Amino acid sequence: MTPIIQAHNVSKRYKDVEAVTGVSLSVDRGEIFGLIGPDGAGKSTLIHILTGVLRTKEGQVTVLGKDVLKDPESVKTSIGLLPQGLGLALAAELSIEENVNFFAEINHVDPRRREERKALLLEKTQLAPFRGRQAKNLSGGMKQKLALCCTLIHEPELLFLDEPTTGVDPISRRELWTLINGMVREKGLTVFLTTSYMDEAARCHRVALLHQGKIIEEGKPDALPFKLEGKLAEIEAEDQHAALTILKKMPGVKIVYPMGERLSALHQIEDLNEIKGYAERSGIRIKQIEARAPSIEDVFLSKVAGQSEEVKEEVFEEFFQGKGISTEKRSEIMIETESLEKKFGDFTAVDKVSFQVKRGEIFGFLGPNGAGKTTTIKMLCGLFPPTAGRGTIAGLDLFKHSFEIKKSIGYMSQKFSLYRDLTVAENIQLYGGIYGVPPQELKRRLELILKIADLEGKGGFITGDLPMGIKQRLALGCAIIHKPECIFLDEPTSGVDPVARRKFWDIIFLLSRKMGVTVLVTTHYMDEAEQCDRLLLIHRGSVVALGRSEELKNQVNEEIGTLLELGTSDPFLAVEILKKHFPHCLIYGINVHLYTASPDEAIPSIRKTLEQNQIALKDVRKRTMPFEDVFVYFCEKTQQDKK
Amino acid sequence: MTFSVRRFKAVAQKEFLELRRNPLFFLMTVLAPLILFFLFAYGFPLDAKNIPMGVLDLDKSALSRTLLDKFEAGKAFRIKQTAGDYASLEKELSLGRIRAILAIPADFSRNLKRGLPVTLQILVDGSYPNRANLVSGYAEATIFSFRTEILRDFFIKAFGSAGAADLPIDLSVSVWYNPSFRSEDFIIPGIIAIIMMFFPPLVSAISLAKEKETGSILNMYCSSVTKTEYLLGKMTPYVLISYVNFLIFLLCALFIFEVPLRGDLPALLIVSAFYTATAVAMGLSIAVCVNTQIAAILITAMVTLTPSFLYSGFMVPVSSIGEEGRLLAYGLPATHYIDVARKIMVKGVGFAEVKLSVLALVGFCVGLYAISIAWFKKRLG
Amino acid sequence: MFFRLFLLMRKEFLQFFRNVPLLIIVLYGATLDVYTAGEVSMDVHNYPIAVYDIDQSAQSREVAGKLREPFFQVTHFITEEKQIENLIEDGKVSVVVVFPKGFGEKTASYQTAQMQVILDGSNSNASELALRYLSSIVYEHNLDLLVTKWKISNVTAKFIPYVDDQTLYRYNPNLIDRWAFCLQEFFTIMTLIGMLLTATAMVNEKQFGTIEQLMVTPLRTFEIMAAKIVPMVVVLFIATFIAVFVILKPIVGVPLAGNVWAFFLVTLIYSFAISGFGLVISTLSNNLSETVLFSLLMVVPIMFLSGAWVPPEAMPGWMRFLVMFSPLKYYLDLGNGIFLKGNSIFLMWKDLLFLTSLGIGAFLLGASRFRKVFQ
Repeated sequence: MTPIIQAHNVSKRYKDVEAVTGVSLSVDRGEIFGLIGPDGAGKSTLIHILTGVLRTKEGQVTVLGKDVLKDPESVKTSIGLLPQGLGLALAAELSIEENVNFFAEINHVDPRRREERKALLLEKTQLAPFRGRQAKNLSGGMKQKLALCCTLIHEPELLFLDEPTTGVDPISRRELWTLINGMVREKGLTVFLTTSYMDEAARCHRVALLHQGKIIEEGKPDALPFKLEGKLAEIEAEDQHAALTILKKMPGVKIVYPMGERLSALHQIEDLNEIKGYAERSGIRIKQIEARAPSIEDVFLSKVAGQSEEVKEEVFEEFFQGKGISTEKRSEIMIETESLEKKFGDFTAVDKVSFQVKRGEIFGFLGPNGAGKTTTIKMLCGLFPPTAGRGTIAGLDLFKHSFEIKKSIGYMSQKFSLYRDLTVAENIQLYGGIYGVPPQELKRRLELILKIADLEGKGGFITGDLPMGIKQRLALGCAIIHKPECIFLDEPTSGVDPVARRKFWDIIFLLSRKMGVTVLVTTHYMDEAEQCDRLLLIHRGSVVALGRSEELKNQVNEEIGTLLELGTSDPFLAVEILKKHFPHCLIYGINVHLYTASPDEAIPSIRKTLEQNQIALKDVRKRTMPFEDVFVYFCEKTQQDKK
Repeated sequence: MTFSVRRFKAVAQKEFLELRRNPLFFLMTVLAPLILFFLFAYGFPLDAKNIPMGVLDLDKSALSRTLLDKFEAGKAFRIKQTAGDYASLEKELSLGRIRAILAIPADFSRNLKRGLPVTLQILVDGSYPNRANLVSGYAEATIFSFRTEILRDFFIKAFGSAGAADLPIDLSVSVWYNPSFRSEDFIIPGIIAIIMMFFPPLVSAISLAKEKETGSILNMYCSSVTKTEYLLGKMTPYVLISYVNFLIFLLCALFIFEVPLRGDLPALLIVSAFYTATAVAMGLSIAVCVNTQIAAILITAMVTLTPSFLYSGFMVPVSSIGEEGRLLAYGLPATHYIDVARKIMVKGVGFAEVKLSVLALVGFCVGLYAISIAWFKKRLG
Repeated sequence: MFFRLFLLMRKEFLQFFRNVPLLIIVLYGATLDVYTAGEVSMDVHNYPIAVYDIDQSAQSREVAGKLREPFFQVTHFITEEKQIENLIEDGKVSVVVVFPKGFGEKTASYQTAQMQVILDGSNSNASELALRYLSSIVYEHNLDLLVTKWKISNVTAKFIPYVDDQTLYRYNPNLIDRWAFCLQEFFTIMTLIGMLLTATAMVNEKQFGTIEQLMVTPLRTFEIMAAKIVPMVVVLFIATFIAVFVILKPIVGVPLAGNVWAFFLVTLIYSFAISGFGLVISTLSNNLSETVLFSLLMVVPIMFLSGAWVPPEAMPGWMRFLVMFSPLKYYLDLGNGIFLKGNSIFLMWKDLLFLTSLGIGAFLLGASRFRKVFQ
């Protein structure tokens, strides 16, 4: 069978930058091909070339047997493209139904067929009840689901998705993936996508890692990790952060990073006890250390991260001019809300939300798109007043002292909001000046923030030209320029690649653990959620869960039983079938997660059910619950309760 | 690829729905043109009216009174201050409260009675030269008729009735089409042309440039819609809405401003349809060439509105514009449309008499669409 | 506090000077745009006229010879009557002069001879003007003829009670169009630029979300506003300076009769008034293109009601009332007063007072809208 996409030696250069260099790849019919890579690696450029909307003189591209570079129009009836950017493809003023109809019409879809498909697609994406709602009034997740429906309505043979899930919550992401998988399985659709989520990369049939315009690794997701140079160890230490700092300095250890409550280390050391010994000599007690099979994320981190600078604790100490706060101070309450409420007209965006955050805590704020996370943060920052309820920050009342509060908080909005046309230094100076940092002191802090953001000596760079990950760190630097007691970070890592995300979280840890800064952060990355001290889940404006991540996991265990991870030949189909017998069954990465009160009795019945449907059950494992399952469980639970 | 009516219709329908639901665009396409139309139509009389004039009457005789009565009789002048000294009049002039001073010398009536020439001085505020020309023109015309009477009296007195009868050349004037020189008949077809050249290109340019700027056009690039279907579909709602606007303007012109419609109504309607389509196409062709909305707005404002305003014969006849200006004038659709509209409405001609201008308009229309479609690439960058 | 205001303003300047398109617009507006406005002429001249000389006599030719430039230009000599209709209908000429048979004979013998004029009334203004010119040309000719006739009877022209008129133009004695057009364009473009600068500076913050970041800092609303408006005023000042000392004075040759610093004072007051309008626009629009659109939509009526195109006295009453609210009217009157007439601003205190109160009104309106939207 000839490949559906065949690219040979494709290069594209803009003025003075080489965006894509000598890329060759081929994608077979019915494949899901994932393209991963750091920001600015050239992922979008490559998609644009393959879809024929960007011209290049170098290389050959054949799609569906046609030369796309010469005759791009010839393939356009059979392909679909979902461009990057939430809801960009949609006509904002049109309703869901009108949007789908429009895409059907321009592709000459037969009206009867259109109605059938529309019903199917809208049902699968759970958009059906909102048919009449205008696209501009949809949440980010709904927009992406609708956009996918629109690109699928004409049953393309080949679908290009450019970061379809960036900024989308885990629930909507699952729905998107279920839909894509269904189309691939049932209609033989071929999908070419880019993503910054590594668990999504694992679901692809094949993955390519693009770095600086070149494909540096390519292969099946399960084969790719074997290309890793070195071995992986998973370490559980008593003081995770201290261990991290120490192990980073150990010779033979290439990269260390936190993963949930544990640390992962890529190393070239034969005996794991050596690592344990090294740590313990520095006074760090290692509870457990074991070898771990590498994942795609590990490949990404090791190939892309290289030997970049670590974030140094000393810089923070110098910045805050001290060692942070005492333990008793950590029990102080920093943020407190009581029945906080926000209404926009008839719509209740935030409904009686109450929680407390202690000084120095990392407090995670989770919830699907449009749940009210941003609204809550904006109320706390004094961007708009609450409709009802009570709230204090550092003992100051939200209503009475909103101006004083502003002096002691830092804020990073969802949208990148430094001045793109100013230089790095100018941005830092501006915010420092606004907060009244005296000029001499400002000079000192400027240097330190440049160090924090990895921009030493680059103060003169124009902010807008920086890569996304660096920009976000700079924005964080600007948010702490006045040494706030408390910072609010609204989806700071959305769309940021894994390497840059790690570094960002290193800073959050240092701020919280060492400097005693209270951090309230929202995220759609569940691995980040697990790194928070405590978590608050909100859904449609109301709190659905609150507590430490283990507490929440225990709650899930109590309510729906223990987790079985099933390796199957077709996880998406398996979930669909098993759901009839086991209501708490969902997809996780490429595996099926199934919750049952009596696991040992369940296994034979699972095996039987799957075999009846020609699905092979490769293995059954018991494992610790990933936080994503918690998130999905609580959100679906409230959804059902409300119904 | 063949033209698909279905895809074209889908694009047009989508654009229309978006347009209708976006209050800003509604304001731009319907409300703002109408407001400007009324503002211009009521405020653009080019005749001199109520020009405030100061008079320094040093003579204060019956004869000087007769002269002033002549000034006050027409609608052009309004005498603001008959008494007063020169200094205070000049202050008034410098503050712009009066536009001219008429000075009648002390020996005005005495000399005239003696049969001697006299000189009236008119001091005109020259800070707006074209306005000053108008003022002095009207003043001279008034003095001219006064002078004629004085001379006639003189000749009658000197030579008897024979003297009066024998003015050697008698001007017999006949004015065609608009005997009362109503400036509305002249200016309103022009105002329609100008406003149609302002808003439709602007909104059509923005609509395309916006999709290019945000990147939402990527979906169109990547779909089977041909560029002809896409561009024509996208422009159709603008042409239709603008044409409805035109019909409203036309009704206002006919029934509120009482501009006559002496010629062929179907001809006017057809020509106006082409003109509307051309105006929209101008915005389109600009948006095809630029990538941002700002650029589209500024270039459209510079290319369509300003030249049409100055060179289309809207206020000044094309014949009075300099050589280069005239070349530019004939390159503007508005010039041809104004010509046709005035001829059909006021002169009452039919299609046959305006075929050249009609041809030019059709040429602009087809040419602009063809160029836009040719230049538009379903590609990035 | 002054330090942070300084930094905020510095930021505005940096952003302005890095915004190349905006910079080009301002520079173009202050120089080329003002200059080219002077190239336009609003005069009616070289008016095309057709002559149908049936008589073909020396007398008819003499009269026809007087129909010449600058006002008239004889473009057609007609030989057949039916051509008249064609020429006028096609708009090739708007005036046709007919000398009937016997014109020469009659005038030579001092009998009254008919001279026919056919005018195209659809071109109302120019035709009316043409008729006036034509009448006076014919009248002068008549007078010449009469004087010759009565000379024979020993009456000299000196003793004819002739009412002569002498027109003098103040402030622009040679009626140089350029002065007025360039000044007018300059005042208008400053209005547009002032509005655009304030509004875009605000809307950019809105569009890129940076306004949120500012709102969570302990900045007061008036500080944010001041930081926007002061740099705009400075830029407008620089633009004014360039326009006046690079274009208007040396190249266009505007006399600059009054005190130029008085004009800068007026500009200062005016820019605050305009910034109020800009603030209002910024609260209405969500992105840059909407801002430009609103600014254009706002400038056109302001321009129209300024009295620059149509003198206010010629407008209907309700429109004259609206004229009072066009800030450009006062700027124009004050500017012309200073540049052309050499007035002192004390003389024009009323205009100044109106402008100031309008400015305060607009500014307060803008500031309150701004507070409402951004807080």
